[in-house]
Amino acid sequence: MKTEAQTINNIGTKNSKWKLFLKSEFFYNYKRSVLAIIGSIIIISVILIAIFGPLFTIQDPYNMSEIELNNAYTPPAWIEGGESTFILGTDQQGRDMFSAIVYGSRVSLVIGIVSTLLSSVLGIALGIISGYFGGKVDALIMRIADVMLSFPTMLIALFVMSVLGRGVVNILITLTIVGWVKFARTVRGEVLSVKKQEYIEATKVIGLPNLKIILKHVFPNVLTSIIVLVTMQVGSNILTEATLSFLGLGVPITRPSLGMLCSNGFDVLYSGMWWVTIFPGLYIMLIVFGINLLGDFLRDELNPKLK
Amino acid sequence: MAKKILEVRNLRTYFHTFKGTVKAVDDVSFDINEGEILGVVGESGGGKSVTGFSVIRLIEEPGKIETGEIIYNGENLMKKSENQMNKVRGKDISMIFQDPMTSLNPVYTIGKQIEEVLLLHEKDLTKSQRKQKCIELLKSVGISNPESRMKSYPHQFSGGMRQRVVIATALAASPKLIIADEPTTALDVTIQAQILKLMQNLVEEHGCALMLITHDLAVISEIADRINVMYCGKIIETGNTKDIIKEYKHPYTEGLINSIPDLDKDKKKLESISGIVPNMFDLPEGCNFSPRCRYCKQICKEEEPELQQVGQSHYIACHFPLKGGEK
Repeated sequence: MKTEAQTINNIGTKNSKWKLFLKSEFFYNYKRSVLAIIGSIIIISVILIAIFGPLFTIQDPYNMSEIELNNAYTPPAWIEGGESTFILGTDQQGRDMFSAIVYGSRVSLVIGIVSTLLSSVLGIALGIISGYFGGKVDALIMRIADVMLSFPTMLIALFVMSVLGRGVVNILITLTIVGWVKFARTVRGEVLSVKKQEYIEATKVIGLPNLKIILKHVFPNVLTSIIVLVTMQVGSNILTEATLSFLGLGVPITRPSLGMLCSNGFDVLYSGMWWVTIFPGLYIMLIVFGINLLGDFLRDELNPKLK
Repeated sequence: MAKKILEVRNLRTYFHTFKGTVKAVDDVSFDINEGEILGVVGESGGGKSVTGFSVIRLIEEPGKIETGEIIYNGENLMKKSENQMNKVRGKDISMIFQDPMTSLNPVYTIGKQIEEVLLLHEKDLTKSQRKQKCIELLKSVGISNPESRMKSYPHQFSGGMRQRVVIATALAASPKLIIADEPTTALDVTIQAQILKLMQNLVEEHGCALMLITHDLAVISEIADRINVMYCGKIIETGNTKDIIKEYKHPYTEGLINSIPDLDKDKKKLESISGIVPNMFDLPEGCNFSPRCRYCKQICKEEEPELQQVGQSHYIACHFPLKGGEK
């Protein structure tokens, strides 16, 4: 009896939470923000293409047996000399650009998302420790962050990549090393203001241990700024990865990302074979554009200071 | 004589800053009996709140409790480790803050926040018992519809209701002592009376003691049994409420009482204590109040007055006690 009543109760609360969300100011504004909706559509389609795209591509671009060198530098389908099989043309090895972009976007997205998660976890942890405990720990972490910030991000990334060498794991490490600073600084600032609030003082008064105060009371209150930062960081990490790959320091040649596809066509860009570089480039642009549209909306919505 | 629930002996809490040391609480001793309401009054910066926080040992850097004993129920809290203190906080001694608008976490429902205290200190309660207890607590602080109100967030409550919730949270683990740090300062005057009345009733019902910190002598005279008057980190007058209000002997208490607006008398101008609270880094020689005291004599500027007995439980630190409150 009791369990039944509880389940019904649970379903009830879940439903009402969803309904509460649909009725919230956030959702109201979201429905009215054309840019945010365009951003979400772009993001969702990009993700869907990355997941299901390989079902529709004509070849696995990295299976050498499926590629024929005869097809090299076929222009896009709508240009004279183009073939309808290769919608976006082919590269110097006769690889279908559309397939290459679909497969490349998988690499780019995975790197963008995973590296953001890694750097945010590291940055948030350090930021909270720094802001909450203060003192020497804070000084140490923040001075390291200052040093990191005083070099251009790309310089550090290039340096670390050239030490570690190419590879997906190495690029994740690099992006984490350069990315945590932003999270740590933002979170520290937020924690500093949150910990002055009386409700944090009140949790100390009821005798809650520090770890619980941090996890249950400080963290949820800094979450909004983290959400915004995470969204934006995915875009920026995809760009950084693309840049590194373009410069030849990113992913291995066997698993090219969008950035590497750009660099592959760069040599022949001025020889008229523009599609090899331009299409992957446009796709990177589209992805980052979508993420930033949504990120801007989230920032405006979740930041009470801008309201 | 009633049992002493809290004894504070020679408490000194200093703040060591780069500008020098601030003696926020300087050699303060007082007791609180079971079920008693002790009022602590004084101007801003008088060390009232620091005294309150010192009792539960929540003084943060650069502050430090230098010496003193805080004996709660026969146990010296100064000797306890931080972990042991966490078991005392909330369970035996809880605290109510000044601003109800910020003392509740905005991201949790109020039910969750009351439950948290229970989870921490009443570990053997089941989920439904906890819920029941929350409902009872909310009912006892006068919140109607507690079942549905438990699911509300703090922003859906008014200031007075939030302070009721805060009080419910403080009462959750049935503490023996509640320290209320200016609980009514941020509230409407009409709500102030309600909240004070509520606190008085709850203290009586639960049989817990209350240390009420405020700068408003009028508030305290309504409900307190005894009053400590603090000035610059020292208790300068202490006694029963009646003694302090009717028979005050310290010029500072006189100043505080005279500055309460009186509707019965047709006064053009409200009296105030001249001058300002002295710089805590640079306290005057002798009596701390001497620069502002209108009865100040030479000796006041040279020698610091000791706390001396002037009535049955009435103590005062002044070289020239006033006579029976009337000059």
